[in-house]
Amino acid sequence: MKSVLKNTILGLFAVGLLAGCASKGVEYDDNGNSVDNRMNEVAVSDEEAMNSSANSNGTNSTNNLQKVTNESVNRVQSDIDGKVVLLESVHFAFDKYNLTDEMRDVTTSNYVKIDEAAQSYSDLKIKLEGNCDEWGSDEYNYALGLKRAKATKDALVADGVDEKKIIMVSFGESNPVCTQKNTACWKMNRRVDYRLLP
Amino acid sequence: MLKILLFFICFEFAFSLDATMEIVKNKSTLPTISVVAATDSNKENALDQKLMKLIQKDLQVSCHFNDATVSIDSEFIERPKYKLLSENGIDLYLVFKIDINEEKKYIVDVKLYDVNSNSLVLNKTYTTISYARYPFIAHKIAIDVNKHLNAPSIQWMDNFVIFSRYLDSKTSEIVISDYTLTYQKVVVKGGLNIFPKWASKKQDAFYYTSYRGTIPSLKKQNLYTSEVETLLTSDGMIVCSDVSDDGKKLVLTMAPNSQPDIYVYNTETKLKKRITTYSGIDVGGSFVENDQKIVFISDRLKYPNIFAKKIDQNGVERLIYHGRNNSQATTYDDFIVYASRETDNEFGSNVFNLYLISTKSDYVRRLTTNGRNQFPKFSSNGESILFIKTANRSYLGIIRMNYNKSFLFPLKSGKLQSIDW
Repeated sequence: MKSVLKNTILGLFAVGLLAGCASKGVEYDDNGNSVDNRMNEVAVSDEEAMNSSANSNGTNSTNNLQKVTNESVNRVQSDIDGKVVLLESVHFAFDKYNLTDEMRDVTTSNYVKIDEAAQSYSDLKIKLEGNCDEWGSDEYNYALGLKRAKATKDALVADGVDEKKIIMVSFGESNPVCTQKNTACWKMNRRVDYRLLP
Repeated sequence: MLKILLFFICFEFAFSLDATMEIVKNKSTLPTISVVAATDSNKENALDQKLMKLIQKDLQVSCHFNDATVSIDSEFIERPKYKLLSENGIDLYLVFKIDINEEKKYIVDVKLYDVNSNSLVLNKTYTTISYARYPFIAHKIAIDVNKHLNAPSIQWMDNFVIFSRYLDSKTSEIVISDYTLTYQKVVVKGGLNIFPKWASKKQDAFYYTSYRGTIPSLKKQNLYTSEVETLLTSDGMIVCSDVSDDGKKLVLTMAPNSQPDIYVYNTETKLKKRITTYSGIDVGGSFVENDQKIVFISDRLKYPNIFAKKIDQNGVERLIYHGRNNSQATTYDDFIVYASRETDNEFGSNVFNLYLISTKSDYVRRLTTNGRNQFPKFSSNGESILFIKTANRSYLGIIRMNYNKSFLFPLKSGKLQSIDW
């Protein structure tokens, strides 16, 4: 019954359309209907050109960073006054932002290396970059990446790092270290990278 | 006569307000339209064929017309072959002719004939100085044809869509386009620039998140001068999720205390107010109920779901009782469309579908059936949903809710990150 009513309404709508055709006079517009007005001046900004002193990571160009990928473990290398510090990324479970015991050990191991580097460079800052796999919605993924960075920050602070020396940023799913569509890859992408800023 | 009038009033009311109405498809009740390029039209770069196909697509997306299955050619000034058109079941005959003048300006003359009354009912001229802008000529023609027949508005076809697309690791660009992605122009490039959001309905400026510098910042860019203003920065993340109708208030997700929460920012006083204080994740807020309430995503139940909070009150209201992972939502009046992850598969592909609910009832309607459908955005009249579909490539999808139809437009390169229109 409902369908019949809807069909009737649609039928009337169609009749209305056609009736509309017949009843209206011809509409002429010889003045031109331009699509250009709002488009002529559309301008481009170039973030890279505005940002010549820093690379796309937002880090100082003198800080030479390099990713080192080794099977399922990701490490990020920072050069501090010529000294290489290799810090292991912290990985997380699917949809989670809590540290497992194994990953807590990684944060402690990283803390020892950071502390050693800080002995010779007192202004050292630590940037924690949270990352996700591709399986969340984007804004939620950026927040998830941030919570992962925060969990890592909390571990560093608990180990003795001054929290004012820690900067966090979330890259959501925009910064994968592996782009293949498989479990191992997604696991590698659910991580926090450490970068040392002199 | 009065009964017919009442039917029309009911129909128009249902069309504009009842987004959950299920229309039964009945093609025979819609007028059949034939769109052809005149045989004497300029054919440079196959513009005549491209324009014809796009007008046909627009009319198809409007859901107010049937496509004619036959094409009957004619010269532009020629009287249409009414008898032949009628025999082929064609109600409306649209013929256009493209000319390029000495100033390299494209001039498109359009005539629309009503076959049943053997009369010319619309005669209009459209112009552009740029070949690339032909999609907006097509959209304007479709809008005018639709408007002339008093069908429900499809004015949204003329709006810009703004989107961010990932190009590489930590690299994306912001692009404006038409809703079919045929016209595209990059407006921000270099580095990571995400979550573009129109600053107002005028579409003359937009907000976006920039990763230039050490921490993310929220910027506002004028579309026509490229003048960029930095509004706020935040440790961790900052995203403009919604803009009030008057453009004066923004809903932000930011984390000045290392904690992603919802804030409302007043663009006039430059003051921000924290709305949520939960220790987990609160993101993706949008205004509802005259900007007095915020709908947002939170993991306070240990999985992402959709909640609402009045701006000046403490209580938080759970809105969705379906699904175990609902991490995106868009609102229009009392309606919410949300993306729900149907599977929880760490080891393979996951399915995301879109659902429509009304805050005034228990009704839930699934809008998509398979694949990965995310980032829903209501149209300004609440009648359509724009969304991102991810398969082997990115697609911009549009759901015409009153008609149970959806259409996909592929992105040629990159991966869609977010959209607004």
